[in-house]
Amino acid sequence: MMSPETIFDRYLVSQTDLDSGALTRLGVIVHQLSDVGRFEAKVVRGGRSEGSFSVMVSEESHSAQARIDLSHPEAEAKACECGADHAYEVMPKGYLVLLVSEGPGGHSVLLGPSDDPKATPFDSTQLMGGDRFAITILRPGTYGVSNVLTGAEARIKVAYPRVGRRPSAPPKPVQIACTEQGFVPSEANVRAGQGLVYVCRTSSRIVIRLLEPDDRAPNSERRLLAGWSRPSAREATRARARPRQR
Amino acid sequence: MALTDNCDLYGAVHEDGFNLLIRHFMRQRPSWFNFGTSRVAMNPKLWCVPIKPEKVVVKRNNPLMAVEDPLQLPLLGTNAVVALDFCVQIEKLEIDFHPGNVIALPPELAPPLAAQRFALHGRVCASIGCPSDRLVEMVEPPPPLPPPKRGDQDQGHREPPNVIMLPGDDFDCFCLDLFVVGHFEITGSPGAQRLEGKLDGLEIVDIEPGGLESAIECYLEIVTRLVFLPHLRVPLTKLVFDLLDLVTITLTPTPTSPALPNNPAVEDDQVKVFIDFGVGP
Amino acid sequence: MSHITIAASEDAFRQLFAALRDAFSFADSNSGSFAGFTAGYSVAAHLEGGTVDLRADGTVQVKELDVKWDVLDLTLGFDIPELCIGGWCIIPNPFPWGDDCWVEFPKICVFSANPDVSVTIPLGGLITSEVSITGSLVTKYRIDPGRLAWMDDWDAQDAGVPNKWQVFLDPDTVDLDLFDIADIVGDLLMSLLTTAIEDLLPGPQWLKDAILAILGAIVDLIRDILDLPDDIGEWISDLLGVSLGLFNSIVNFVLDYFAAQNPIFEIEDPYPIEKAASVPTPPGLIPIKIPIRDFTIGVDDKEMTVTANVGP
Repeated sequence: MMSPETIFDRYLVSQTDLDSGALTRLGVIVHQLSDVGRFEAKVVRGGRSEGSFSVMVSEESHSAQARIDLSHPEAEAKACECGADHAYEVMPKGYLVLLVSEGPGGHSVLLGPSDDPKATPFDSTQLMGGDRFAITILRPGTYGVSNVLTGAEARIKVAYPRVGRRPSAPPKPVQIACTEQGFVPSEANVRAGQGLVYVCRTSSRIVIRLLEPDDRAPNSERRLLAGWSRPSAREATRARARPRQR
Repeated sequence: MALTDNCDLYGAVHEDGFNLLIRHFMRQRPSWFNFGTSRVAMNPKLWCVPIKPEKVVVKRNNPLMAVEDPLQLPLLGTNAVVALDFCVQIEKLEIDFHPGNVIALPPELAPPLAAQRFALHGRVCASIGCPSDRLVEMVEPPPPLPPPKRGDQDQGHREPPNVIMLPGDDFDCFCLDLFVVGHFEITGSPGAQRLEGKLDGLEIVDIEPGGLESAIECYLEIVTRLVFLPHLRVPLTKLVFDLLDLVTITLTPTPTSPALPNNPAVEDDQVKVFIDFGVGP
Repeated sequence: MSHITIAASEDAFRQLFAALRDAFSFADSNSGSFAGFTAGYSVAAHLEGGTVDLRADGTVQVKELDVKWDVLDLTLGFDIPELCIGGWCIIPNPFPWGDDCWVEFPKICVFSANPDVSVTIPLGGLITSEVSITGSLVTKYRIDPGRLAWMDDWDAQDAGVPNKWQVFLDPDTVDLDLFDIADIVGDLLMSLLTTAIEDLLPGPQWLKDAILAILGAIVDLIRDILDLPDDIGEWISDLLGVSLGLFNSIVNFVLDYFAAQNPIFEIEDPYPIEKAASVPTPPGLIPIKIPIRDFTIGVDDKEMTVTANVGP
């Protein structure tokens, strides 16, 4: 039988802070690609290049999104006749989805058109213009949110999970706008595992820090994890077995 | 009426089965029924009746005849004995349980067989190896012993006699019919009780003179009581109930009562025993 | 008239049967796969009590023998279904056609490798069973398979392979009643399974609770996986007895034990009479053996009777 550690990444437990400029497993950046063409991207972590990938935005493509796992950026790139050995393909106005599937994370991306080196690249440490930073928080508690590029601040309160008798999926994600005036709304109350989507209307680098955890003391609240009620009426169980007929 | 109406366990052996048992004994343990000196044992021609053992007796070199010391006859006054070869064989042995219908008892034993009695009939054949005249002539009898002196502290003591062995050439066999009447008793201490035959009367048919008959009957009664009947003692806990593997249970004879006047009972051509479970420690 | 007659009262027969009953021991194990879970058992049992009745129709009835379960371990195993956090929609499809979501948050899953939960529930002492047997006494003549053709009866006795007359209780019916399952069994099952699953959940308590909040109460998860009815005792009974075949296994073992393997009693043939004599066989001499023939057995409502003849 697998140990709990092997079936659940320990970073999910230990990493409570989130940074759109240094992606981890609990955060995803969605960036829309409008221009047709081939784009080259560099994956950066801790100031050092950790890999690269190519994206082909083509009208022939039927893919609405290109999902790039920054921990293995070239893993799912397909062979193409686009000047690169392998590239991700996406249709115009399709989405580049940047995520981290394993490890400690801390990745960012610089992406620019391959045929125009002087063009301003997309820098994932500076989201803007409809870019989205989607997160999910697992650890209950109070979190402080700040846009380090504008100084705006907000709060998130993640409620302690309530275990009920039946399975309960988290509610729909909360949408929060990052504007020049700040975060709208500035307070969010969510459940553990519920999604939050920060839609960037202004230049943004969103950092979320755990201010006050709500871990609950062990056994401080006796909650029903398991229970069984005896049926109201029970007869003695009877089962007969007869040997083979002689 | 059930056999165990008055007891926990019941066992019975019919006289026909008993007689077959005797037959098997005689064929598998012939040395219990045939006796002789070593010279006689080794020479079947000297036997009074042939011995017909089971094949396995010969195969496993079991003796056909029990070897006894030669028959010793004292030479009076000489402190010497003459030893002669002899042969004694029980040719036939049968038992009859009340009512008597197997053995015709002689008048001396007051037939018919009384209630609760068994009868035994045996045919015993014997012979003495009589030495030839020539051999006897060759024997030099030892001189008579001096009379004991007065005041001699060893007055009653004699040196062991000298034995003069005279092998015989002439074995003239004779056979006697022996009849015994007896009953069974349960003897022994609780937990170690046995079914034992007891002698009520013994008769040898037609030996003259009567005194000789009586003397021989006396001898045979003692042999029967001390040698033969002890072979028929059967531990109660093992008698047939060993078949049922109840050895861990204490068995005791059922006490007699008006409903059970005899235990063991010799009736209906059978010997019957009635057993109860004892109270264990 | 038979040469030998032995009769044992009903009480005496009970003593014989008690020895046979006390020597009975049963051990078995089995496992199987079912819809969504695996199950297996390991059992060891002996018999106690019971009443024995000799009947006028020649049969023997043994009623209400208690089956004492020295060991009755039920092992259940199942896979916990994959549980994922995330997977929610970041950018929904604004159009009424196509997929509802254009861009999804990645799923973070636990139990993706389908880890097994396996618990063993000790039920010995919590389940009471009774077995009743009705049968006839039959005699069989056994020639030991180890007896070689060249052996005579004395060779066979020396080699420990003599022929035997045997008396068996040949069952006509064997009824096994699972009389009662203690109420605590359901609680015990749930408690063990819940603890086993909880132990599998990763991380600190807040993470376990986060997972459980999505998973729902473990007891209901277990109920769904095992498809448990309200009466868990009945479910266990059916699982053990019918699905895993424990009841048939016991019944067949009892049948074989009494009818074929373990005679109520047996005697050698020829019978070594020295066992009954007061004088043991002197060394070197063959034991005296008496052939037994026509060995028969009869039963009525008062006693068991054995008759036999001495062979020629």
